[in-house]
Amino acid sequence: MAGSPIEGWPIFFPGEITLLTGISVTCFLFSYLAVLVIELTRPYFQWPVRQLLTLFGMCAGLLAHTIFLTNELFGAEAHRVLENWFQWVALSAWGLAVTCTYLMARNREGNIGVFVIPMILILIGLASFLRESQPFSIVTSVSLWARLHGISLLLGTMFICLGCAFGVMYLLQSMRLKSKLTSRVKRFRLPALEFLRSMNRMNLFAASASLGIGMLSGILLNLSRDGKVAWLSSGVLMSIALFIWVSIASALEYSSKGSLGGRRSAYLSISNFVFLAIVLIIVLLASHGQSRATEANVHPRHFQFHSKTYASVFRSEQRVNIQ
Amino acid sequence: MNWIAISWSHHQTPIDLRERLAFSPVQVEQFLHEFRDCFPEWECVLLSTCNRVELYTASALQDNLSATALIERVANFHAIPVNELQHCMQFAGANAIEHLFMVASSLDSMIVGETQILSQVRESYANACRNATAATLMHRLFQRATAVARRIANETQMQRRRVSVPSVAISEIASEFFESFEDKAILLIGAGKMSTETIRYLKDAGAKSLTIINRNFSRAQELAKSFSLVAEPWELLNLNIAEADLIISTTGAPQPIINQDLFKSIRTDKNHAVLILDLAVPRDFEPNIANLPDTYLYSVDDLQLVCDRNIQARKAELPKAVQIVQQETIKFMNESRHAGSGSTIRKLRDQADQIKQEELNRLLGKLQSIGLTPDMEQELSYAFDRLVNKLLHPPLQSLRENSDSNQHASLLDALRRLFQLKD
Repeated sequence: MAGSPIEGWPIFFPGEITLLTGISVTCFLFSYLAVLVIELTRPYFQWPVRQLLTLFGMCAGLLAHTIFLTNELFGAEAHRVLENWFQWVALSAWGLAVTCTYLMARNREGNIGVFVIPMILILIGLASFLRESQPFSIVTSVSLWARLHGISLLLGTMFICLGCAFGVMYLLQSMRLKSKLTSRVKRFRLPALEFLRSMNRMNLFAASASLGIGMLSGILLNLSRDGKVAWLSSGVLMSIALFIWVSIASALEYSSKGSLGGRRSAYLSISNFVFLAIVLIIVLLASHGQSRATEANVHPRHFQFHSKTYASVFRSEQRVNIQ
Repeated sequence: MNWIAISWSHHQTPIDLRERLAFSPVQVEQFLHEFRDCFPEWECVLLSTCNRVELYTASALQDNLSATALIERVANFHAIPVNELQHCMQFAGANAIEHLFMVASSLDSMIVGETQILSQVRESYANACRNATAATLMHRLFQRATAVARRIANETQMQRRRVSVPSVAISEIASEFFESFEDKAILLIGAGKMSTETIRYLKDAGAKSLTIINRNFSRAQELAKSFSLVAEPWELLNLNIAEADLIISTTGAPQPIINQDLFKSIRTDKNHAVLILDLAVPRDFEPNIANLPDTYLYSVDDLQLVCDRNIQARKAELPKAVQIVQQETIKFMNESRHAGSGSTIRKLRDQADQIKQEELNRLLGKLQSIGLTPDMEQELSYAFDRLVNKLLHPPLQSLRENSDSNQHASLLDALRRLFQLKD
């Protein structure tokens, strides 16, 4: 283990940690799925231990998810942190699961899980689909800008997914209140309209900030690496379009006042999600950020020698920086 | 132990008779004083509310006070012919206890589950304590009644569902919209009774920015002053409607005060949604205002539906609550019997010990002359103790064996009479 900038705080490098290796995507996928099923039964029958069971299920899923990600990011077969789209999406799902567990514990009868867990499952599904994806370019992914780019876009994705879930909840709750259904459907409660609106608003602003940082760091990454930005590449174009779209949505939201009027922000949050889905499809198809011809076509599992060499170089750089 | 209760309640007594029977605070004191003077052996608590007048009496003695005598006393006090009061409900023994538990738990109330009755019951008990007509028996009974009411509130859903229109409006409808009322601009149109009740619920929910507007400005000011709120003149109604997050209207206007066109022209900010709780009959806001986007309008009919559903839900909980009352009544009666027999047994033992000691002292005095050793003296004392215990064992055994049966009171009475036990 390398030295740490803060004494006593460890820094882990890929290849250094291996935990329960038998844990696979299926373990946490089914935990989250089980919680979703339990949550969906809420309107049909009362169950005193439902709350406890769902929280337990989420925690169990999170534990498995965390162990799985630790193995993926720092395990024996790992080469570098966030090395491909699979890890990136799996980490987004993990972030969303942590947030969902917190919100479910805070708002016990709000049925938040019903709306957020599907987002987690979609991301896990996408991660499984990208299991064999090409790694990101080694030359670029070591730089600070690359890491900032990756992490801020990951956060942006999380906020957009959460925003979409809260947007759907807002519209549903608004419809129920308009049609005076709430008292008739007592067993299926949703959080107060004001809470949903504020969550929507917060996610919109956070998403635009994260995407903004992601876009700027992407530009700086390109400039530092190639001395120019490929403005016309589909990945860059779509990322900029998404950022502009989310920024307009945030500006519109910022201009509205009052504590309830959130229909517009709900629609904006949902459209953000749709836009994000389109952008992700295009970016993934365009192999944005992935290895180029020189490094490409070599799967990470067959990249052992190169990566280990890279890892040792990276560690030396880190040590020099720390000193 | 004697328990007697008589009750004139909304179940069988018409409102005009209840009005004539009602006791003012001064009259309650006066009645309790008179009762104490006439029946010094009896404890008494008088409960007088708008829906019921009830008299609870208790005595440890087998006295001859009857429900009829109590009715006559009430009739004489109010100068009402006795025959008009004959339709009251009369309860004795365990039934009287059960009735009080039902009343205190609000299971006998006009609106089942309302919480006000418990404080009224406690107030009437406090009155009796102040006037020295409540002692050991009433202390135990009313403390238990409070405990039973709390148990029912905790173990059933009886009091968890609101049933009045203003309480439902705030606790069930407005809470679906707002997380907190603290920073909300709330406008209250009207300054009548409904407004006053609504303000109480809003204040309890944490509302701070509350503006009252009423056609009669002085009435609005008066109400605002009593709750430390802000009153605005009627001319500023539109301005306040434009800014409000929550509007509650309770005026007595014969026709709507706001129509859709006016509302649209006032609320220019399309993204500032508003919740309108129209508690007025006839309605103050035209129903088609609800069709506007981000405008949520609830009329008194919508709220009444919720109230009715909650009342039904409370009624569904009734069997569970009644079961608790029955359990507690049995428990209380058993405890009362044990408490009653305890003092009788103690008196019997004291009396036997006293006789034993007198006889032993007399015998020891005579035997001193023939030279009594300490061992012999000890032996004689043991013999007397054994004799007393063996004589008292059968009656006490019978009393214990019948402690949970109906014969217990008569056995206890027989014991007191046979052994001439005095209080």
